[in-house]
Amino acid sequence: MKGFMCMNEITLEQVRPSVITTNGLTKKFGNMVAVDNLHLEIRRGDVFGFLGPNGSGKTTTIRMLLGLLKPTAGSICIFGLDNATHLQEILPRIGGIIEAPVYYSYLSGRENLRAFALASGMTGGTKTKRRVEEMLELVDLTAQAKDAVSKYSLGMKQRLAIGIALLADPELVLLDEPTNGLDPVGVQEIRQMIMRLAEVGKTVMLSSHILSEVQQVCNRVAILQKGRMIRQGEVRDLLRQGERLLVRMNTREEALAALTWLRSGPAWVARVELQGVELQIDAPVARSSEIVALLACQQLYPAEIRPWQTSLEEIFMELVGPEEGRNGMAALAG
Amino acid sequence: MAINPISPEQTFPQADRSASVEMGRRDYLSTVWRLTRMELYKLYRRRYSQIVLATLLGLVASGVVVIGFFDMSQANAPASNFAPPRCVSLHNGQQYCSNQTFSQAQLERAKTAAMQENAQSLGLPGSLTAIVTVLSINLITTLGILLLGPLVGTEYGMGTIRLLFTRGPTRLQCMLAKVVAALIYTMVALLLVMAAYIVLGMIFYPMTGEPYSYTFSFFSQADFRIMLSNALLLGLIDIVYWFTYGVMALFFGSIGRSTAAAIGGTFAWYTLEILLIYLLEFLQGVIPTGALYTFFKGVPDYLLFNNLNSLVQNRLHFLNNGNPLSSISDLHACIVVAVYLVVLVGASCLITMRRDVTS
Repeated sequence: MKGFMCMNEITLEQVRPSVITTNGLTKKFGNMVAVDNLHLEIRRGDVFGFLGPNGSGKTTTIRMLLGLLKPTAGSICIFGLDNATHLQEILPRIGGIIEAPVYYSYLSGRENLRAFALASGMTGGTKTKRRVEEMLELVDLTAQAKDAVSKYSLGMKQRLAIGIALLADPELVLLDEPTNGLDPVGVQEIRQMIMRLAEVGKTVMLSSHILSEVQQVCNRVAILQKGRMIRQGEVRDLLRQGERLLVRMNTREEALAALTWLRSGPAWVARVELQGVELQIDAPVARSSEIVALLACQQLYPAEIRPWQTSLEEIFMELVGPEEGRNGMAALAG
Repeated sequence: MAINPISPEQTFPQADRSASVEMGRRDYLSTVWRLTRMELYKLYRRRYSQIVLATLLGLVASGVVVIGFFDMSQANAPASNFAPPRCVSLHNGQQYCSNQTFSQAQLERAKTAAMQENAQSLGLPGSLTAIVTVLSINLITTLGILLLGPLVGTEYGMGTIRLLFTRGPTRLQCMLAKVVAALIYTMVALLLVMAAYIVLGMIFYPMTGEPYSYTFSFFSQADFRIMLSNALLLGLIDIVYWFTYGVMALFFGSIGRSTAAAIGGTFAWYTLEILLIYLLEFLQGVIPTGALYTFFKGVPDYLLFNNLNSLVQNRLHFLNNGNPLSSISDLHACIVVAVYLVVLVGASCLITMRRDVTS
């Protein structure tokens, strides 16, 4: 077999094999480094969130995965095959939306699906036409199927793009901002669709600015900044790292006393912030009873103590920095 | 604990697709043919292509109507209108005149001969000759650039190129499909126009005042066989003419990544070649001898415009005895045009295969 083959050792445990692996993936445009030494791993069945502010290299990475850009250095393995030499075997198994949805504006929704069905290797016969109707129903465009896409709203165009991506029933689905332009009902439908895809064994790679949606649907994420991966892992592990305890004291004086004591207190208390009479303590939730006991020793008795889970958005803002994080979040608010 | 490595096919066997997905054959030619069908599907449904084709058909229909009314006016004109001009009223350049007085019978015969000649352009086989000659006129062939220009440029403009290149087929297959679709579309469009002219000619033929003969006896006459074969060849040359400039539009569209680049670039090449021919002719006059003169004289024989036109001119020599043969032989012209086609298609494919797609 030409090129090198990516071998995935599978242990006896149920470790899911890697569908996408990048090794030192780098892309330079002249002197500008768009992607820098990226080591990415997406496992079969993952709903993988690919996050980062604008210009962090997400779209460049997706384009390299799909063979639209040639990497400057590094390698890509998809389905165990080297992207550089087996692209034509890989691509029929992938469906995706890259950046904005694209379509032939002079064709209707139905005609677009039929055209791309042929491009995807489908026969174009009766069965394909039925499949096209299935996709129109799935993305709720049956009523507008005859209209030229130039007359579609942004949400309709987005749904059409999803239909095109899922037309050939791919194993791996790459979605770049799939909820862009959709109303809340549409966003919920896309979320449910992604979860259904995961349930039937598809692997989904999702790039999005709506971190609340990513948190709901993704099991693993990678966060990029300026072309580099700054964090990759399970969402629940990331959220656990951001676990906090909220302790409400009875008076401001007691809160100030507790703040002073905790800041000079045990090493496993990472940080303490005060807001009014509430203390936000960076400490494992499992140690809440210890916090209560320690405060009681100082004659300080909290009115309430409860765990507070941070969100992916807060973790993202902390990792990429407030300015870049705001720029990234503002992209959608636009 | 390391396990014996498993081959990719075992680790990632192709998952079964949904039962409603029917995939076609994946060999090279089947893939190119499927992509060609997609390109033709888009071309036929595109309003722009429909307008260009409709414009062409409209021009043809208008031409037939104009010829029909002209022939009708000639048929209703008095026979005295068909006498040659008197030499006293000669203008410079007029070739034939006569001061003879013609009888009414002679004038009637002259009128009949003129009407029969006029009617040829509306009735077979003359209408075939007429339409293939019209389609070879330079101004008309430029419509091929408009017809095929958007094939590649639009993909970049709309961004659909990134979807096309990520469906599975190679970029080379995608480009070859566009070239094949361009050829098929050109053939169908021109054959449609030729058929439209011939059919409309037969409908408007009665306006000529001449009786129509439905028996074609020309196959038994050597002259008509030569005429028919040259007319058919000229039709084929028309297709090649249009297709060649269409392929040039694909080339410029691939370089410039837009329809404007495709159409503008091709028209610019077309115009520059004509200007170059005039410049070289002028330079031959300035330097009438020596190696430079030979060079200036030889270059036009390798320009696309001259070679395509020489193929046309050589056919017109047999269809219309007044036309001289071109200095470029058919064999030379065919080779040069073939080389241009190979270079243009090859360059388009090479550029497309190697570039990063960022749009």
